[in-house]
Amino acid sequence: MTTLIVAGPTGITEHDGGPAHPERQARLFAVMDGVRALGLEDEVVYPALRAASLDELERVHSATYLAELEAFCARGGGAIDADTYARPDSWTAARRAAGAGLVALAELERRGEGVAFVPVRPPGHHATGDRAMGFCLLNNVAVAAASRSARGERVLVVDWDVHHGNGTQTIFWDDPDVLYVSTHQHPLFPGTGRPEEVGGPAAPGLTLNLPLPPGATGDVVRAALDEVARDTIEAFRPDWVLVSCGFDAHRADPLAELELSSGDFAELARVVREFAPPGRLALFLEGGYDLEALASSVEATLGALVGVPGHAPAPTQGGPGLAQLREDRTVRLRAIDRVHADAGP
Amino acid sequence: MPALSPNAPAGGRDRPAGYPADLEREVVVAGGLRCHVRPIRPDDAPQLVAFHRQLSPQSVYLRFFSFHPVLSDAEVARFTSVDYVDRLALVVTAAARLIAVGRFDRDPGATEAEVAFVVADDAQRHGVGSLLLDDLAHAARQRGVETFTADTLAENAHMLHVFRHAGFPVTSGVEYGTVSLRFPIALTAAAQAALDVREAARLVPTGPGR
Repeated sequence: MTTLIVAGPTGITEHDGGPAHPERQARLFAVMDGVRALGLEDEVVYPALRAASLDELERVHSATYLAELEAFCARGGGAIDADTYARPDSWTAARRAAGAGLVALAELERRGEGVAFVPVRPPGHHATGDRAMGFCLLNNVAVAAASRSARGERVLVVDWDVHHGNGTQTIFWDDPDVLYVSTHQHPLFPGTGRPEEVGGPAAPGLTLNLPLPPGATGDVVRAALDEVARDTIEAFRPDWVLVSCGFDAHRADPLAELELSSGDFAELARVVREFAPPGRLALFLEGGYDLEALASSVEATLGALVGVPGHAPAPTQGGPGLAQLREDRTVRLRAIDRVHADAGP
Repeated sequence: MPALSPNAPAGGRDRPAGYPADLEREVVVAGGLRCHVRPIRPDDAPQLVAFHRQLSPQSVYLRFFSFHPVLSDAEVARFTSVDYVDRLALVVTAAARLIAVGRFDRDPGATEAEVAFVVADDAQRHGVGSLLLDDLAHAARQRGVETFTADTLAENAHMLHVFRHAGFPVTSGVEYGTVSLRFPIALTAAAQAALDVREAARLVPTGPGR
């Protein structure tokens, strides 16, 4: 059986926007209920956590932004925008969340096998190099990806959170060592993630957006990753596969309108595992705002990866979006062509 | 235009100072849905919170350009306590349920105001957005506003349709997926003609059996 490494939980108490905020403490309790439901008990590896250093954060965030965020928290924090808040301890919480991802990758390397799960708050994929937004302060998955691309390793980031990871896309827009692939409902917050967004002149085609309409079911998301994205991913030959693993595409989620069951996340997990070299797969918690859906989806996802048979609800099928994915392929190819043309001979 | 209809319920409890009762009226929109339009009041706060909660995430995003799942207390206070001069909001109710809210805001005394509205998901595509735009423009003209501006996401085809087919000469610019619209709201002959057509369809049937 595959070892399950859980680098977390962290951010339960330090980063608290109150029970009315959807990105709330109780999410992590639900997530850990899902881990415990696997019944692995002592077999789960919980490595010691640490905060990310400034050097590690500065691979993706500007020094100015980091200083501003630290000072904002030190002054007592408050609302950053209509969605995003910081508390006095949020700076510590965010650095620990980013650090947990680094710990997870180090533990995978040390063992040479296993799969890592990083259940942390605050989430990360909306945070850009110089801006907090969408509940996110520091971009956890990007900090982890940059730690390995800095060594010349190729990193695939698959983002199946129901919202587009604008922060991750922006950070790696022109980075030839990071392939960013996202499935997301569109239009929806944050509005980015159109198929014609394909990456910059140094990385044309290394941003792959797969927008989905409301009502899309698990078979559509699976086809997006397994069929539409497969060629791009296999040609890229990633050394690492990091997943921005939100569970808000679940049909019970209050912040979006996709129709996945927790069983669908098990299917998606099996697809991304195929893309990863052995012992090189880590899943980073992003969104997911229905507590029961979080628990059951975490259980199904991790169960599929470590080989614990579960009793997840059946995968879903029949929703809209497949035809659009095919049309978007053409839009994307034209956009890649334009980037090449603009870059000159 | 919106003369107080004899059928309209009186302004009701808790009428704040400056409440413009002349903006209340009863209308019928597409599909025969009978609606009541009136200025917002502070006691609309609970209804407004409930309204926002049941908007689909997509509608919330298209209106606020953010997740914005829950209105903050400060926002609720700001949205429901208006001065009816520089900040004015109208609500539309049907069968006692709030189905849409629209507002305009301007710097005190300015001739240009920003307009925005949102319609409940199950009431969309019934002309409620057009209704709000017409009544907001009417109220704004009364108060000396000459031009409306609006920021709308490029994906928001319904909203753009409402703005572009109101009969006003709309100019627009696009930046980062946001369409910025700007239009004078004077009742030119063309605007009046378009309004007359819409208003004729909104007449509440009177007489027996209504």
